[in-house]
Amino acid sequence: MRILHTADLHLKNPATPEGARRLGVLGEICRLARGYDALVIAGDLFDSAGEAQYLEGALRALFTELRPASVLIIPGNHDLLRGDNPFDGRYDFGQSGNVRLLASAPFEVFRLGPASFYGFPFRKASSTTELFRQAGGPAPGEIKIALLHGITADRAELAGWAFDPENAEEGGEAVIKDADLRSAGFSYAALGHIHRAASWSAGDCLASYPGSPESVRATESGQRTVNSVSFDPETGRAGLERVPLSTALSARREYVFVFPGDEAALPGRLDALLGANREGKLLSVVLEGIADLNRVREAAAAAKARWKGRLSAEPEFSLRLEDSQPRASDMIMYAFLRKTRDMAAAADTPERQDMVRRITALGWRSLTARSLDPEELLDR
Amino acid sequence: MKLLDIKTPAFGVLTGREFSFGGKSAVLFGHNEKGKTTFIDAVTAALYGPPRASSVFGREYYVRYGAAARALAAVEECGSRLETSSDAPAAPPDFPQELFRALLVIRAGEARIPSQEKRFIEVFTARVLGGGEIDIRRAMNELKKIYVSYERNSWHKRWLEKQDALFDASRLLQKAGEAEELAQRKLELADELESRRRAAEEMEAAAAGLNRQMLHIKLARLKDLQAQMAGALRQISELGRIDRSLYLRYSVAQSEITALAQKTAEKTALLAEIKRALGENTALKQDIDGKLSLLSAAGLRARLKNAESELSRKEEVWEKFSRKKRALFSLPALLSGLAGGLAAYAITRLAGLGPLAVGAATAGCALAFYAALLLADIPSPAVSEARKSLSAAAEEFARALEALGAGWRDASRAELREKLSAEDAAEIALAERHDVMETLISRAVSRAGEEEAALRQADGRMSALKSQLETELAAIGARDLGDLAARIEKLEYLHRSLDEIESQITVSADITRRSLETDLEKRIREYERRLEGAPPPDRLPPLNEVESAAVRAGQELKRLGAAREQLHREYNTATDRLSRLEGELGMSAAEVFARVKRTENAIAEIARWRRAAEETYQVIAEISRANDEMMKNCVENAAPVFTAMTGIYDALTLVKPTPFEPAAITVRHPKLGERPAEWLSSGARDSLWLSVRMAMAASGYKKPAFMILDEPFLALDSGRSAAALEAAAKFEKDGWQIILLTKDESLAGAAATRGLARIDL
Repeated sequence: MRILHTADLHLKNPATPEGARRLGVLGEICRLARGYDALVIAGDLFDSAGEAQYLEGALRALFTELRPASVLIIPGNHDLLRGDNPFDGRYDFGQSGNVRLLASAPFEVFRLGPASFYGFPFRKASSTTELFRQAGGPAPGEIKIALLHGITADRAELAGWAFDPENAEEGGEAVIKDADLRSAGFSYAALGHIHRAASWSAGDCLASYPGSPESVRATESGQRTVNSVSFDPETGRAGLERVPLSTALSARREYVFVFPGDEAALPGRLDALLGANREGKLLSVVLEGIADLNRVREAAAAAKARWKGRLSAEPEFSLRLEDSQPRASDMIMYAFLRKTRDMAAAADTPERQDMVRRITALGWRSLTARSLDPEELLDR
Repeated sequence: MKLLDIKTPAFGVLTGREFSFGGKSAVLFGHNEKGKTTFIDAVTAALYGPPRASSVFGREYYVRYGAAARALAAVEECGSRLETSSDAPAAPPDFPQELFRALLVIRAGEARIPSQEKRFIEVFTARVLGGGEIDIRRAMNELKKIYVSYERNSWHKRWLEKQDALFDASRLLQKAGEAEELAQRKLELADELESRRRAAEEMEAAAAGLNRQMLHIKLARLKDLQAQMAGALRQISELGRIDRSLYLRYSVAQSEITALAQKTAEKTALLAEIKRALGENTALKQDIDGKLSLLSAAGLRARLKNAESELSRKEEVWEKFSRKKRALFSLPALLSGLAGGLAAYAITRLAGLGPLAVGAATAGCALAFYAALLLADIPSPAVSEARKSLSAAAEEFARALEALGAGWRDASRAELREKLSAEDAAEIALAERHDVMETLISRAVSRAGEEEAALRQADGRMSALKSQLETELAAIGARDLGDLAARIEKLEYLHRSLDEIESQITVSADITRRSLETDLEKRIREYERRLEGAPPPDRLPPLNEVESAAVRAGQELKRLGAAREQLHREYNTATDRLSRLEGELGMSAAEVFARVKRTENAIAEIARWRRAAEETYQVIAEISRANDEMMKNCVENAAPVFTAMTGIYDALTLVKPTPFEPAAITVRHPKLGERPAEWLSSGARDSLWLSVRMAMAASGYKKPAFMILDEPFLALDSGRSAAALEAAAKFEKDGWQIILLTKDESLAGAAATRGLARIDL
């Protein structure tokens, strides 16, 4: 028994560049899924419910081609946003054939050979404690696989990442607990919702987020993958291998520190950065530091215009710098700027870059007698 | 960085000029309005481009030089030539405009700081560059507020708020966990309730089935009993001509007949017995009679006996008479004597002859006694009579004896008496027995007669009854008594059965006997109605099995009911607690979890800012220290220049680096010793600041570059100017390129002499 597990595709209308790209990634996933017993999509297939109408035909074509492999899908929080549930039967994605929409609360079971797939459709404010009530315990000889869309309560770093204001989700949360996975006797928990790939063991249960196949936000960096899961025929234990996706865009966030005097050179730097993005990453450029805000803004807009259409994905620019104008500098300020410039150059990790950004902002504000109140800094 | 040349194709009064320095020091000589300020602006524009039109500086610039102003420069930077112009400014990044303007352009009069001004660097910077002031102290304090927990500090407050929020959220999370557990428990209880309910349903269905079975059984039974009753009644009615009274009568008659029969039998037996006894007694009597006949005739014996007794008597009398004489002193005589005595006494006394009484008594007594004796001794006819009788008696005796026969003659009187008495006794006994027998026999005979009579009576009565019964039986149609008996038995049996059936019915149907049949019918209809006309199953288990099963079912139902109640209570308790918790929570467990995570993130964010603030503090503190260090060096480096400029003071000491103010510096007068800078005259103070200013330029910019001095020695007299120039030359020795701008002819000349190239504006 082998399954291919993915989630969080966030498909959109293929008429948009993002939509077309993501549909292409799904195509690659489906090609990879040939030869597997099942393709499992653990929620957020669509970016919102309204997108489903544009994708009905394409999905049906892609999924039915996978026969005799089954395609199992559960709805995620995005699938239910801003529209009617696309999995209630109004669309034909191939349900008459090999596609199963596991959308009835609290769960639907699909049996395939020795495996039982328990699909839990996303429900806001639910938790596995109540969802697993009727899922029973382990049965001998049965390989139980859970499809869940929610946040793991037991991985602090993942949960923290998920609740980061940048990664904020709409539509509410569902909580997944390791203890429940253990006691329900699942061999594998095919999870979705958190866009970062992660896997861990909860007792005998292997739980994994495959991560978004294509980065949806700039914080989703790293090679995009899908999970290839095989099950030992004797013990039923799951083994996981991450399969890289070649057509998918991962995101990269670049921090560009700008100091007074760098404004003139900024367009060149931005061009160099964007030009180096040949491998097609989803670029998010953050301009930090202290500089003439207007000039920096102009440079960013100009770079965006120059590169429009030349990259696989439109880059995002965000400005998080302190405005050096109107402001006169002096020795102390000069010394501070020199120091922070050195620090920025020496910052080799994202955490250190982040710290340097804060130090720059704090120093500038304190020396220029601007407000250091938490309202200013925390709520930006 | 050294200045190589400047070209000003379009720059105010210097339009079309070219200046070549080749990296060496120079003096630019020009009167007022010849372009000294313009030169500085041109250099600045060439290096850094024109100023922003929106600034104060920019507005002045555009007014003075116009938008088309253009200047070009060539500088030497790290051994290579760098072209720069106002269109394409290319000043090296480590030679920023701020630094250039702050340090390396020293203008006349700028160094004059009012004596009460405290913060030299800040104020100076503000004066020169027209911007804001930097208050390091304030900056550091503000930074400290972020990471040091003061009270009433907004960061600390925010920190505490978030900590409180996290605490509350964590508590809520606990509650949420509890709520989840309760919800879980509720679901479990619901399941249990459901299973109990189903079990109760099943049990009730089973109980209903059992009830139906019981009804079937009861119905069958009642119907059976009903049939039995009907059968019994029918049979009874068939036998019905036999009514109870006849039955009673027969019973009575039968018992009478039986009694009579018994009596007859008894009597017959008795009679037989009597007759047998009679026979025996008669035989016995005959035997006695026989025995009696053997005895001698009773008369003869009696005669003998009489004779003998007569004889004895007579003998006795005779004996008596012969004894009498012996009774002289017999008691009667004595007594008579006494009596006579007493009588005599009494008479005497009564007669009043008392003293004679005793004698009379004695006399009487003796008389009486004697009289008695005399009387006693009368030979009377009695004696002869006695004698006669005696002989008569003896004759009689002999005759009697003779009559009796031989056996008697030879016996003695005693033997005779014995024999007589024996025979008397025997005769008596026999006679007695004879009498007894006779009595018995006569009694027996009469008794037998009675018994026979009674027997006949009984027999007769029995026959009468029997014939009466037979008549009656014939009238009823019974063949005979036996038949009637059988019938009666059957009737009795039927009545008993009926009674039994009826009592069974009353028990089974739970009704009274009063209106048995109708109640029974009602009961049967009722059961049929309850069974809804369903046919009975093929096999019905025995009632006791069904009943005990029903009892068990009932017990089980009760048990289930109690369990369900208990579960309900628990469920309700859990529901109440859960709704209370949910009310306290106000949100779901997932939302609480989200809140906890967000709060944790917020706290982490505050922590990051705090760490950044601490590091920033260190950075700025370091900068402050470096600055202080620099000021110290400045002052040290300024000393010789100052000495040269003033020609008097020979030492300059920085007492404390901050705040950098007049009070922070002391000067040493050769005669007057250490004096604070405030003590200096205004001219000397100007020199002080100028020298410090130049030293600052050299210290502030680490490697030697070019310095533009614009009329720096304006306030000094010519002698001082020369000395100052001399001092400035010191910097040149350190590698600095000095560009001096002046309108002082002598200074220009002196500078040229010193080796500075002279350019006239």
